[in-house]
Amino acid sequence: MRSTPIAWLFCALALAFCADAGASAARTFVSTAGSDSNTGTNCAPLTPCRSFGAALGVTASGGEVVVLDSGGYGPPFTITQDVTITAPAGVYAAINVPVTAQAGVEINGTGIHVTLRGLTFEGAGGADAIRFDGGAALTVERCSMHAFAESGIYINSMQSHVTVLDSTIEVSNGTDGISLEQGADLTVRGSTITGAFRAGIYALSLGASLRVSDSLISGNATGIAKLGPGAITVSNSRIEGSRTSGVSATGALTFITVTGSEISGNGDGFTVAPALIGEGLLSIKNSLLSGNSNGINGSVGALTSTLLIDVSDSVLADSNVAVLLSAVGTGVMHAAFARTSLTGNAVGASLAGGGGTADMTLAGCVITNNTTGLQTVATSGAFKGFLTLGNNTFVGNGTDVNGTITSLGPR
Amino acid sequence: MRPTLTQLLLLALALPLCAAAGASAPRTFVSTGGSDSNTGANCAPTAPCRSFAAALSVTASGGEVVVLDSGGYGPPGTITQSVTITAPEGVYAGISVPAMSTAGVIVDGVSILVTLRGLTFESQGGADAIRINNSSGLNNNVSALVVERCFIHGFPESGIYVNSLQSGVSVYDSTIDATGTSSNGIDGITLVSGGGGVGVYRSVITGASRAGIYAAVIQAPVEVTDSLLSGNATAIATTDAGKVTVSGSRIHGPSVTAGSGINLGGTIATTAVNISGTVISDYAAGVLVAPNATIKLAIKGSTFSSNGYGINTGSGSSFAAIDLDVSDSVIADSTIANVALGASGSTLATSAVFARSSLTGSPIGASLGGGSGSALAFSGCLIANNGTGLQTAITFGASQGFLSLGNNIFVGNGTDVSGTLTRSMPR
Repeated sequence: MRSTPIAWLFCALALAFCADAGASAARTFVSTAGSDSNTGTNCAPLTPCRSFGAALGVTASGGEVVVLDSGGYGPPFTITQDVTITAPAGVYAAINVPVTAQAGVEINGTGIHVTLRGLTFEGAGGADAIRFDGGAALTVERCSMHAFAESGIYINSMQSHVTVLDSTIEVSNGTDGISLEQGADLTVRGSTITGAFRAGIYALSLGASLRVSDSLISGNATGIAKLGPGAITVSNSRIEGSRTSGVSATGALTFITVTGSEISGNGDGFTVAPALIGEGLLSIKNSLLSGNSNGINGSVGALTSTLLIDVSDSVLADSNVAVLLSAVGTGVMHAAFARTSLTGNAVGASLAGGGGTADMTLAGCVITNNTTGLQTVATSGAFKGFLTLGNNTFVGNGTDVNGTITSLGPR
Repeated sequence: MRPTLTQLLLLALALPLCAAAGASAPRTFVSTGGSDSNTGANCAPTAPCRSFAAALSVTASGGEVVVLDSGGYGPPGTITQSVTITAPEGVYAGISVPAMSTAGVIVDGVSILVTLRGLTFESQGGADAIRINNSSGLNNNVSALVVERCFIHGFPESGIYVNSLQSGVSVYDSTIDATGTSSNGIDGITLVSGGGGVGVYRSVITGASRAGIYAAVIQAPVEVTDSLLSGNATAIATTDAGKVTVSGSRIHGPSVTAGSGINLGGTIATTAVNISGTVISDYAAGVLVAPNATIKLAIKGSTFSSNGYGINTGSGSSFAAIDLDVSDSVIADSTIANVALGASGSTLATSAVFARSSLTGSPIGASLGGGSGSALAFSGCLIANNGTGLQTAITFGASQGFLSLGNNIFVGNGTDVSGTLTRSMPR
């Protein structure tokens, strides 16, 4: 359609607006006093829009949507471009997610990078707070998510990087806090994840790296569940009150490193069972495992699989079995404990073999106030049992060692 | 010449404006409802200006520009005097930097202090968010930049670019995200000149295609505290920095096959490096000492997990010297080796001590290459579940190999020690 002279005249008069209307603005604004008809002026600071969806529609790629004052800015919307949505500290910006919506924010665009800052997601029956189905990177900062049927954050974008900072995910018996279906890595810092009936962090993605620091993962069925290969690094965090397990790793090749953390009041503190022909490595240092049914529950199965554990400078206390290890079939299990206390448990460490190779070595450890300090169960095959490198202290146990403990001599 | 009555009358009428224009105010204000014609009233709270640039023009040296409400306020441009720009918490103040600008803020005075607080910088083609320049050319120009509660996003060159001989930058509670729409930015923070160095506290730097912090300045200290450096090609790269301190921080790479958590280079100055309470994961090397560097590296209470190498000084050549002490740390699950010291065929001299630390779950726990006088001593360490616990490569000169000071635990390794392990007398 040709423009009429009147249209041109109008445009000339309103040049600033017209230029913008074609292109959209790098920065747009929403306010409870705004109106979505202000998209014509690109949701400028003095003519803000009312909803995120409207503002996004006139925000340039790589631009930003800014919240001016506290309020609700739904309904749910989809992001297909690079964008940052910011509610500054002190401004509350909520998105309600009704039962008709899959997610509060759906993110899906090739190679895009999205940052969400300062938003509150309320699940009014909706499945997910944030759903990341396509894109390169997602950062969630200072966000709060509450009561979702499925996940706080659902990630299904191959090779993507997701960062969650200073946020709270409280799913109120939804499936997962964060569900990593596909993605390269997930970094969680300074955040709280609670109330999931499957897992606080559920990682199915093969090879994905999980990094959790300075965070609280509490009251989930499982704190962190990793099903495929990849690394889990936990530092300065608390994982507590998980009915099933604090950290569960059942993939073919899993590396778990835990430092300076507290893993308390869980079913298992750690459940590590490498898949068939798989390998699991668990390193724990400077950490406290207390009040779990089993502190560390490690098993290698009927076909060749390997589990390698090292624990140093840590305390495993007040559990049914602090260290419960089992190697059957052709499984291989090596566990090394240095300068670590096994204290106040029914059983400090139980090592079972049924054909597999299994040993647990202790050096400089304190095994105290357990009903049974160390016990071996039903051994056969290349089972070496307990080995000591010296400097261990056994005291106050009902039985110090039930089974064999072999001294290797110091090296 | 005596003024005429008319002249006097005009002057009296215009007095407030004249006084303002002449003197400027210690505190000025901007608002989205303001107007830059209010410079005549010195951008007072009830007559605020619309842009940072206008407000700065009537702000006294050492004064402050305050943002009243959320909005975009344009690039302040070149700042030649000490000043603070503040958006209080709860107020968003955006600065879009267009392609024709090198930077949103250019700090370019003589020994000035500029503080930027609560600002969001977005690139609309502009190269850097903030620069420090020294167009005065003075050797004794010591300017300082403080960046606090700022968000810096999408700049193709650097979030903060320092090119001023003696100047430095401190960054608090801020985020520098180099991720761009088409390609990522080069560095989060770049120092090409700036003896004042860089300090980063409680901040996030992410997405840089070269380095989160790139400091190529002799004797320019680098300090990173309680920060997250994630998804940068290399997190921290220094050349002859003199002093590098990393504490309480989390450093995560995009890939275990490329880049370094901390890359220490240089050929001139000895660099003292302290790493404490820090986690480094998912890099080709957690810490990489570049060829020919002279480094004193102390690591305590830190975790290196799932890197190619945890600590790699193996790329060394003729004149490097490494002093390394590691205590109370975990180096685990490296895909190649937890610790690799000294390249075979080099004369690199390494003196390393590991105390109360774990080297676990890697094909190689620690390997020690050649080098006159090289020695690696262990005390109270756990060397477990590696393919080979300790391995000496071809040694040249009087390498002393591995020393044990006692209380070490070798267990679950395919081979505990390949080479010689000498037992030193306990002391």
